[in-house]
Amino acid sequence: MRLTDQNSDPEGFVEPERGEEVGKTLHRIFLFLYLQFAFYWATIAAGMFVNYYYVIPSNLQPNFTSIFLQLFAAPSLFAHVAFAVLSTSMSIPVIVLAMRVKLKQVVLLHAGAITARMVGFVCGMLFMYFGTSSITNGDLDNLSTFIMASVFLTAVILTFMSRIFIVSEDVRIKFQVPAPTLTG
Amino acid sequence: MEDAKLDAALKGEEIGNLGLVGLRLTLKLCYANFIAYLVLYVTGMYINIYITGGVTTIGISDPSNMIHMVTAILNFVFTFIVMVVGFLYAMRKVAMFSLGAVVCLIVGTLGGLVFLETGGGRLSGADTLAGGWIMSILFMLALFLSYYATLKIMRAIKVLEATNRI
Repeated sequence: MRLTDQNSDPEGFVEPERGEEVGKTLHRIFLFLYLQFAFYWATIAAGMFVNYYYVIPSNLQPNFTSIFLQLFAAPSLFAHVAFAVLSTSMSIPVIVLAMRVKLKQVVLLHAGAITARMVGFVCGMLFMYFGTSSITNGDLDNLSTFIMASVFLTAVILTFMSRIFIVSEDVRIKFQVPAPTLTG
Repeated sequence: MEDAKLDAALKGEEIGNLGLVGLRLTLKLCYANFIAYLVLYVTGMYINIYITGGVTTIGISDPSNMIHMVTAILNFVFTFIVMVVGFLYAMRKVAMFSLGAVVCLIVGTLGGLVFLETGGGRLSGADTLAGGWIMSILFMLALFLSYYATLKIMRAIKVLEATNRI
């Protein structure tokens, strides 16, 4: 099984025109990844503001609507969530472009990153839920924060790894190297 | 690939003069650096959430802080070596990204020391929080810069493998 069957001839070499097109698509992916990493960094910056300066208000109710509206109440919290959404959404064009050039690993890694961020979002909401004055469960509050931070790092690692495959493909196209095979 | 085409394709590629074996060794060092970053992040989050999350403060001799600081020193050493390799073997981008990471690690460490020296807790005042924020954000930036340096090394390896210029 070849990784990029449809871009190559039977020998695994890339046709020059096709190679140029794939190269352009890969460079578009690079641009989205640059944006994604910038947004990741901004998410951390805003997240640390939340971590050090944000206090859950005592009148916050332990229900979805009131917690969701709280995301827009404090500037640091809003910035954190907005950058998190932006960084996550950058995976969508990356997935679309990667599908176009048949880079399965990149698609899977970014799908994994989106899933990790979704789990992080749920844990972020739970952090606020367990921090409300009528619930106040310190252990679960800490656990949800820890999971939120861990899955964020997982998402960063997955997107980092995706770039390895894109660089490999870019070099392969540029130097017209046969496509690697998964089986002997 | 013809020689003329190959030379044209190699323009803009930064392969340096370290050679494939040296590059592979440097890449292994970069991977070790990422493992250190991972330990640093996990211990940092542990301290942040479970120790300094409430009214408790942390001192420099606290075991979890010691692990965190030793890991940070490892990060510094690994990144510094990659930076030197970049400068010595004509890989400008690797050197510059690593230099940026080294500067971030130094300033971030100073931020961490401010955090510890001004109280070491969430309720210790504005200086403590500012120190903590600077530490977190600069270590994350250092991670990103180290990652880009790693990618450049990885690309150089792929290019050398593709062109058989060992």
